[in-house]
Amino acid sequence: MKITRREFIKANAIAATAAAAGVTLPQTAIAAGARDKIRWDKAVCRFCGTGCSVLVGTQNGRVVATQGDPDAPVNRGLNCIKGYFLSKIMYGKDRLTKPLLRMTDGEYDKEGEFTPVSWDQAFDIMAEKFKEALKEKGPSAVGMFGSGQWTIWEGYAGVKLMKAGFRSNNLDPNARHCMASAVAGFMRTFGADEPMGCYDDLEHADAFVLWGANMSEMHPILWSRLTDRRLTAPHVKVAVLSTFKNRNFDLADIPIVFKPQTDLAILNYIANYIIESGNVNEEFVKKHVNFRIGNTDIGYGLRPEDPREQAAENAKKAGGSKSATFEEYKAFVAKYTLDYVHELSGVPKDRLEALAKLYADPKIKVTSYWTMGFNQHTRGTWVNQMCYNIHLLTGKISEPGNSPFSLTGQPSACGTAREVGTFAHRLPADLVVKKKEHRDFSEKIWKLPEGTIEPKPGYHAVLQNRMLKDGKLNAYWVQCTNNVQAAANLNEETWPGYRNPDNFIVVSDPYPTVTALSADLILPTAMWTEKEGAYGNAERRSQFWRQQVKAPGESKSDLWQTVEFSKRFKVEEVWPEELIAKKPEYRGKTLYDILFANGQVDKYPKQEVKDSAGNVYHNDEMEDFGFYLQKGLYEEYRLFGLHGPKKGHELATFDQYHQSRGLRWPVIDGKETLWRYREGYDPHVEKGAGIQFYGNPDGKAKIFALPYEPPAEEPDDEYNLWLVTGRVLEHWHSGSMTRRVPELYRAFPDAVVFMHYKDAKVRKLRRGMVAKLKTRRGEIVAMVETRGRNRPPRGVVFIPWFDASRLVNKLTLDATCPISKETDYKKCAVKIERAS
Amino acid sequence: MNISGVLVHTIPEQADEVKTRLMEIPGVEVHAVTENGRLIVTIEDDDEKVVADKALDLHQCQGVISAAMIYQYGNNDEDFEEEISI
Repeated sequence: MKITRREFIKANAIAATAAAAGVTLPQTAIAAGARDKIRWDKAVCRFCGTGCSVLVGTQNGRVVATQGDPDAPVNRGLNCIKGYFLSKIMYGKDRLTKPLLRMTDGEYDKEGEFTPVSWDQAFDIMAEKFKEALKEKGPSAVGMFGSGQWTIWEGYAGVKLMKAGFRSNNLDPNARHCMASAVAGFMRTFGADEPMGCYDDLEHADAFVLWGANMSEMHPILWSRLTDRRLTAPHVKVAVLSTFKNRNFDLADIPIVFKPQTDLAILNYIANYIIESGNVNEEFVKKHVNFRIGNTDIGYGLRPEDPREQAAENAKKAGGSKSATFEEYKAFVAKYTLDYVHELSGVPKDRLEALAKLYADPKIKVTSYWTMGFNQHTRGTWVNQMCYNIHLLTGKISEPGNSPFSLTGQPSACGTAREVGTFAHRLPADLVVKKKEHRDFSEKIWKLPEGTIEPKPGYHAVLQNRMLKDGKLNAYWVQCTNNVQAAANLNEETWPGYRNPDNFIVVSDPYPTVTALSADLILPTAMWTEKEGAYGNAERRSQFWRQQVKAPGESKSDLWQTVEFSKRFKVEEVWPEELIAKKPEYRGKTLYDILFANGQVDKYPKQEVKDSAGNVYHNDEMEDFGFYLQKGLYEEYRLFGLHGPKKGHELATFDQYHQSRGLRWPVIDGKETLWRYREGYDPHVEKGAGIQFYGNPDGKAKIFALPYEPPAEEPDDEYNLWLVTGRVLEHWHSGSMTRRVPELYRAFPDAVVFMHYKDAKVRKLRRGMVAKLKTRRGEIVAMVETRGRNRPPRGVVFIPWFDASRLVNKLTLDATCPISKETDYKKCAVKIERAS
Repeated sequence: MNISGVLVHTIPEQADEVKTRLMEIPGVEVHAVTENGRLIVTIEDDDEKVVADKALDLHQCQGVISAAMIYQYGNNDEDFEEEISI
């Protein structure tokens, strides 16, 4: 039979789509009957935290096609619009292919022009600047900003180089901006990071509550699964909470638009309702929960001299708390009555009651989802914990369908940033630098002398920019993230920090992002399937992929860069004599010898990387270093989960992940864990215990009594609108990849300001006109949109942040949750007028 | 040249109406409607609009609850009208 290539490709498209829908069509036979020239292999999507598996089609050394992986439990053959253009993200016209250094007349010059240099020259100047900073000011003057998009081994190599090699804890990931509040909430309530449930809750819940998560645009595949559940099980209810109407409201049974920051009050109202209506699960609470009262009036994480910090009673004791009783907690939430919270939040009483009933009714299984609405919040840690409170009061947790679930924004915010511990205060597997026992254990695994790891947490993301500006952080390396565009308060903190003449800034990126262009040295980076990789998604699932294609030009992976750079440092140049004296065999060695050629990381010899069909794949790092670097790093990292002081972090072997569609940790005897802390699902729970929150020593979770407190900045007479920033379906984060896919660029080329038509009208603006947005920190212009997918109420405007030509973070305030240090990107005061 | 396969979810009672609306978009074909309101759709480029624009049209189309992309092929170097044997 003869058909055209077009018909053949279309038959493939139909067959794959029909398979995802669970039906068979005649085209399936055509597709199956033909041999195509494309080599297919699995990989993890490069974008959000959902962790969809995609099949990557490679032909003549180039990725030409992608398809949703029908064997993937996460996405079951589906892809969202971003995922579906994955094949194009590596082929933007302006890919960087050579290191670029700012130079004048052949010499490095901070004010010079970017000039191509060799890798040797790049590492020469970089090593010189890092050594200079270390020599003059010590480890606190060097730092690294990493990423929840780093592969697991890239993050792990970064931790080793910074915390063990340079002995500096000034390593923080961009995940600080997206997941830090979730982490702090988990640690304070459960003593262990990451969700207890998994995506299987989507098929078990009777009700879904979205708290500040625009799932239809940001997690479209999970939204498809949720939609499927809602439409195939008619009793299922969906409640959507947001500060403006978005696409999720189309499916909402209980739509709720609330005034910014009043989610805190709504959560306490629900707790109060559960108690008053007699729906506390008393047996559960008695056996598995402790109560505490948290410190209040904790400030906003601004610079200490800010009047708001000066006025806050507990700015320096933000994380403090004292033990309490159920009765005290009951009295604490009693003031959050229906009348009071209706008044404060602007939400109709019948909707607040309908929402509270979902949680209170013992027969309804509830899954709560949240993303940046909760996390990017000056009370982000609190609001995470307050959601756990209502699940704990009712015992609706750790079982199918009953699940408080924090969604992640980045593909490996969990797998890399959190699990590997690339935060300024952390070490792998939930360990922290503050605890001697944890440092000792890490030093033992890494074969380091006692006292190598510094006990004091380093500069977190927001503080790094402030310290760059203040000239205290001088040699700085940014990998795999676009923080000049992403960090708040660009004009007052980020830009002056990067361009401070005292500092040398290195940025590794595949593209000339705003951050790369703000640097002094740009290193061209291999991305996604140009290297072997591993990511960990929001449901604790770790997934691996093989290198599919070669990176262009001289691009090298972040992993290669970090490991290769370590060869430039003799231990005598970075460690004090008394430390070296404890391990004299390290004398004269390089950091590479100590950290990577340590008998563990270089344990696995060079081998052929093959799939089950016999296809052979590249591994450029193995080629360069002469051993299986990724495997060695991973197997060393795995020791933290197997033998570390915090239980419940067991991972499977490197080879097992390459053969599977991912496994959810803890993985014990080769079996993954779907619901943690419950007997029958989690092997760590002792027989007969039923439930054990074993992250805390007494096995109990903690309910924290926490109040509503106002945000750092509110609209006033001059700056009279709330400004909310966020994302759109077509673009991922800063748009450095999606804006280079022509189709996605054309679909949503420029950021627009979504606002109520009456708010536009009183400012003499109409849809399509150009408005000037101004805050106390800066101004930008954007086109007005009064229709479409986002419909803010009066008094609120929304603008997405993907657009490098309209840097929204010139407007935002770098106020953070004082506990998690995560910025609130959702609330500051703006004024809008017609642009002249 | 881009060809895509898309799985569209609708409220089952509206599936046929949505099918009619989608078929009006040039380059969009609906190959099947399942019992539970799912549509098997392909999109092709034409001179007017690229696939992504049309995928967005799908999202905006009344009655569409979600549109999941399943398969994407994009390659400008091949002759698509060439006959191949299968």
